[in-house]
Amino acid sequence: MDNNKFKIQNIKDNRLQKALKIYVMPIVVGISFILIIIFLIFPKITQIFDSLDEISMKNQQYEANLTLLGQLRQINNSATTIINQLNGVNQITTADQTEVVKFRNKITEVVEANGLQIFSQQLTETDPTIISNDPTQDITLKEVPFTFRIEGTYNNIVAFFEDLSVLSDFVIIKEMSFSRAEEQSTLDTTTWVLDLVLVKYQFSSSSQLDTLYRSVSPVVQVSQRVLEYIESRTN
Amino acid sequence: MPDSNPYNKRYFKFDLLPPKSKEEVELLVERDNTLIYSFLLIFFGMFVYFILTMIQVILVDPAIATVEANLKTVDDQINSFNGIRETFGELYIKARSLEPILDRDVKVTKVLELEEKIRIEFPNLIDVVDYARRSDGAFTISFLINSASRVDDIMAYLEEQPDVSDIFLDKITWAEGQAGTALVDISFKIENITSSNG
Repeated sequence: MDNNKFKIQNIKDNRLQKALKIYVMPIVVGISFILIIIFLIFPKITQIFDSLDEISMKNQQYEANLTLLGQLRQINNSATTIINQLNGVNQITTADQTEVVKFRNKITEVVEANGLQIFSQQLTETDPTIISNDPTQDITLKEVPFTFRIEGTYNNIVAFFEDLSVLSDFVIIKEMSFSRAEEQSTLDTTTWVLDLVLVKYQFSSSSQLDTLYRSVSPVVQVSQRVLEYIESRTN
Repeated sequence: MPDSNPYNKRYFKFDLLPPKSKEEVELLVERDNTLIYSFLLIFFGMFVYFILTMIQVILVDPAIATVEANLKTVDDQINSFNGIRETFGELYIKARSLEPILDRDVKVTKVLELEEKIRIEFPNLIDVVDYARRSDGAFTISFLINSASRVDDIMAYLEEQPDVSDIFLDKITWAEGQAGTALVDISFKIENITSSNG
């Protein structure tokens, strides 16, 4: 009885061995093939597609840079004009503190040159208003107001305004009141009083702004009004 | 007539191992086939990998190198314009900052020119006593007029002027009758004279 059981067990073992002989190799090879796909072929395909994406992206960048280069060449053609315009801006908006005193003296000279009298003048030099101009806050524009009370004839005051309009500073007339002080018959002899708030603007920067300046697209248009203003003040 | 006795042949073969059963032979054949197919599969996998590697080495990598070289050349050329680029950028940013400031400028000479034109248009009629700029940016001219009834004519004349808008008769103070002398305040806006905090 035991002998029969042993024979049956032997037959089962032999069948298992035969099955293993047939199926072990395909299973091992199948797993190997899947591993080859997962660890070699798939990463390689991904790598190739990534490289193609990279080529495509760099080609786009190359095209964009070629366009930029063309625009820069155009700017370079008018380099002299641009440099002169910037020099003009820097000249009339210089941030030097002594410029404020110089400016006050300059106004005083213009007033006196036109035969006018200064009643009073007030200079807010110590605490200028800072106007935020740029989202980056790297560049600021200081507002330095001057208040003048001037007296003289109508024609002299008009001449003073004309001189003021070509002054080599970025200055605007923010407020004014120009009224007759006494009642007389002609404009030439009547005394007029001018209350004037002049504001001088100055740029100052907190750091080197080369990167900010380089980020400006070469195709943007510089404000024509400002250029005309600067031209009128620097010629 | 064939010789049925195997010992009559010049040579004969013999096997000390017991002969394999038909079942065992089929099993061996099946195993051999499986081995062949298995190695073919692995070979195919490696072949595909080889082809992909060759595509990368022969086509893709050189293409990347070419594009990068082109890009570097253009970048170098762009960098050679850095100086003028920074100058232009600085000019643009500063001009952009200054532009709104110009809107706050009171073009006094323009106002005076306008007043001069009124005096030429209506000779011996008005005598300006005050020019002022209001907080809303409008300009006010105060003048004495010989004939108050002609204020309408002056208003109509101002409305015809280019760059002049928002004309209002703010105040009229009669010194005599309504047709006689009066002190008149007229306010208006001129282009480039806009509202500000002044």
